[in-house]
Amino acid sequence: MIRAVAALAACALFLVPVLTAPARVVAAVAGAGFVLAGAGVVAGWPQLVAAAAAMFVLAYATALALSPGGGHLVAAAGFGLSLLVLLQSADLARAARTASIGPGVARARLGAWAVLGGGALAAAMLGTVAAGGLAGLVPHAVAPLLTAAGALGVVLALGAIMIHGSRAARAWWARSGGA
Amino acid sequence: MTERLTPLALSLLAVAAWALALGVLAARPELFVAALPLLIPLGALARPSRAPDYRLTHEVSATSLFEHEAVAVTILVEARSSIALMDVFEPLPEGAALAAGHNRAVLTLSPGEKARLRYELRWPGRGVRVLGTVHVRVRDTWGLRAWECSHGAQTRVRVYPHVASVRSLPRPRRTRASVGDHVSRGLGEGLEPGDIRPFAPGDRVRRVNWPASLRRGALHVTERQQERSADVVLMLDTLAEVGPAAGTTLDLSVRAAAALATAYLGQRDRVGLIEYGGLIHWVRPGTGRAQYERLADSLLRARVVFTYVAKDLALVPPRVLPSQALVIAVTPLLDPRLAAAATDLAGRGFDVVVIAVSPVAVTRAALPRSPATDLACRLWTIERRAMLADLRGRGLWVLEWNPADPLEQALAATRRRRPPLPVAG
Repeated sequence: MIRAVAALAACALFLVPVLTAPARVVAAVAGAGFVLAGAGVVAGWPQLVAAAAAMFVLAYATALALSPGGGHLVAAAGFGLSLLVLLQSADLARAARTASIGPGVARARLGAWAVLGGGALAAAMLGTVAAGGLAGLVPHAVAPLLTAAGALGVVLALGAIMIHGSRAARAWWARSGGA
Repeated sequence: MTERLTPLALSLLAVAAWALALGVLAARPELFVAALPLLIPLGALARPSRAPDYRLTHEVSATSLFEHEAVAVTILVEARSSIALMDVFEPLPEGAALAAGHNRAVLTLSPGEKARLRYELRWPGRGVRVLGTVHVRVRDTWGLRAWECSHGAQTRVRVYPHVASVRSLPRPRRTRASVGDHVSRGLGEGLEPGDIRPFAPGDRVRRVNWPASLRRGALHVTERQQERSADVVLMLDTLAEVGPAAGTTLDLSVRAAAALATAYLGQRDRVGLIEYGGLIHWVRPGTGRAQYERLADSLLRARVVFTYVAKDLALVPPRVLPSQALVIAVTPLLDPRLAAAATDLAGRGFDVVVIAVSPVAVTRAALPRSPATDLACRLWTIERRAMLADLRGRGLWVLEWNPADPLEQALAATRRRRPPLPVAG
């Protein structure tokens, strides 16, 4: 069941770039990602699945660069959600190998992904509207730098959150007497 | 309980960063949108989360069982807080095989909900096994943060050697004074007819042998042989062993000793045990259920302790090795010291029977088939045959047991008349 979900996500990740720009190079990169994802899920090796996700993102970026028109936001949000589903289901499939799966596990996972998909789409819509409003205020020459700085800032902020969250949790456990 | 970020969190961050970087390079907003579903769960890490609260109990259906019997292990988890994903895992103890179910489970629990993990284990070999170390890993909703803990409610499970049913048993030459199942040479109360003699005052009428009385013209009575119990001391060779795990010559010897002990105790005999190896352990002869427990406990712990020192059985106290006891040595005869000790006992007047567990078939089964192996095993068989003939020549009653056959088949030879004791000088 969990592997089937991972396979479905991999199929979606292969199809979105290929349908965006049906070029040979896009199909080759997405195909490599598909093979890596399959091998990672079957072998229970999450690093391979992460590499596959990176290949899919590269294929999507190539497809977007090759396609003359603008992409669809819903497709982009679906692509992102498929990335998350692929990574999480591969991780879960690895944990559940040789294990019995409780009755509520699949239901809880599907519910969480559905909520996140809706949330991501809503955030994308809001972001697009906000960006449209702000676009006029930013000079064209500064826009790429600002975008790059913003992206870097997001990644660094998340890295800091992860490190801080981890330390804070350990401190909380130490205070509450946890081992 | 320890908390840590999972590798999945790092994977999400790496892929999201890659999507953002490509989005900047390609100047396409779709890649920023694609990164959003990865960034939102990572952002949720900023919110401090409480560790999961749950109660875990571990139960085992039986703490004593025989080889190849199954024991059911039940792990009950009761959630006190919401648990998005719980991974429960109990490693299989040494030598155990999973008979049914899984020893690992992935669960999702809401507060107050209970979940039960049940599986069955089977051990092909004897021993004392420890169960109860359960590893638990709880993940948050997105699987980015994990809490890990080990629960160590240790339960000891005793796996006793399999007891085969045997009917033919070596008969002791000497018996004790107490009542038992062995027909002794002495005449008295019993079932087996022993002699016929003229009637004497005081004899009971029911003992009159009417056919003999009619033939002889005077009253004659039938005398019966006494039925007595005996002392049996099992001598287990723990000097050396060969064979695969759970099927070594020592394991086979232990099974044979357990079968003999059960059969003799069933006949109301006193049974004792001497483990003859690097360390000499013994169990004093006794009768009844409690004695069986003592013998079985000792047998399930029996192991080879190698030594270069030849142990002298004179160190064993007489109450452990009574002079009238039947000594049954169960041995693969891999180490000549056991044969020497058995010969020494026979020389000191003990009634000694040797059950020689053949190591040839066990070794052959463990080795890959090849002409060299076949030839070596044939030579070994010839060598063993000569050794057994030598022991028989020294007055020992040797029964050879091929483990591929039932023990009863080897003991069937005891139905025949026993060879006479050698005459000194």
